[in-house]
Amino acid sequence: MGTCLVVDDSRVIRKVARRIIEAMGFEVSECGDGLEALAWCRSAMPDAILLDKNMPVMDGVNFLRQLRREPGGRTPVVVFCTADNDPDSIVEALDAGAAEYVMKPFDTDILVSKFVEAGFA
Amino acid sequence: MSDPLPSDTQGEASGAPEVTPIELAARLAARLCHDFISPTSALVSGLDLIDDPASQDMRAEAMELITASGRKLEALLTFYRIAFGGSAATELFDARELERLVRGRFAHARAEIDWAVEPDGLDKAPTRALLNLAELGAAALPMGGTARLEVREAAGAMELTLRAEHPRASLHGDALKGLNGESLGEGLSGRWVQPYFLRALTAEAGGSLELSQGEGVVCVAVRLPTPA
Repeated sequence: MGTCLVVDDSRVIRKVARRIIEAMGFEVSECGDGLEALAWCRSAMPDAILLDKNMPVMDGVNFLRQLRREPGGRTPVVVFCTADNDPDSIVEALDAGAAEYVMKPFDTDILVSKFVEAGFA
Repeated sequence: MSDPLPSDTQGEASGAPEVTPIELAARLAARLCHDFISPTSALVSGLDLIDDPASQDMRAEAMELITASGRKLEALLTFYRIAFGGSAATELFDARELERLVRGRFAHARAEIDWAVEPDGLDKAPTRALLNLAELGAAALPMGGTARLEVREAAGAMELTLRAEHPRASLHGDALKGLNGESLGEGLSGRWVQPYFLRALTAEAGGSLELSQGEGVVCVAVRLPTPA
């Protein structure tokens, strides 16, 4: 399936997401904030990213905007993860380059469907 | 993302519904399942972490996840049981109990509640309308703000009002379609069905519904006849 980077400041959520995404066949790595994720992508650009919105140091939207300016940064399919259902926040993430969004990465069916909709069959 | 729909509407909520009862029931069930699945899955994920020998260093965080998810689920279930359920044991609801349910629901939303309900007790129809107005308030205030819920008895009628205030307060176009009694089309069923339900139950009780939206303010007023 490829590689997926899970970016979230909660290690519990990273762990939960890792289990689901690994079961889909991805090789999963984890980062705790946007800055760390940016450094990771510069050394090993993943095929997909599950990205939290609200994080310390660098939030999800700023990470995504910077990622898209990086060499090869347009390649990863990004599924955005947000805790609120504010339409403006979702539009902001999609405008920054996210392919899909989920409210919380806890439900296996929903998370899998988002990756499938984003192009991973 | 906002739809080009009219920002103001008013009128009798007695228009014939364009969806069949079975379709409405299915969409309402889908909405409830959608709202329940996240805390339920989080609960199970927390329990999985507790059981995982490799995750014992996360035990405290897993317990926090389980606790928070269980509380959210309980708050949603008790609120939705009265807001949408049809088998309540009582026909008269204590306003203090309703306030507790609404505050419990809003503990898992960003907005604050301003509770201004005058009557001590409410019949089933105004109770359901009030909780559905509260739910609409939470939907209109995804980034926080204040949802003022007001109920007062006027001549021969019960007036229930939601006033949601925040610079970004607004109702999604699908929700406006539901409030207007329009069929959904290609929108998101979850946003549409609850406002549609509010309109339908208002119509069934012989009442009227009025919506007004301005900059930073959403107002929905329901007027229900009181029994003679």
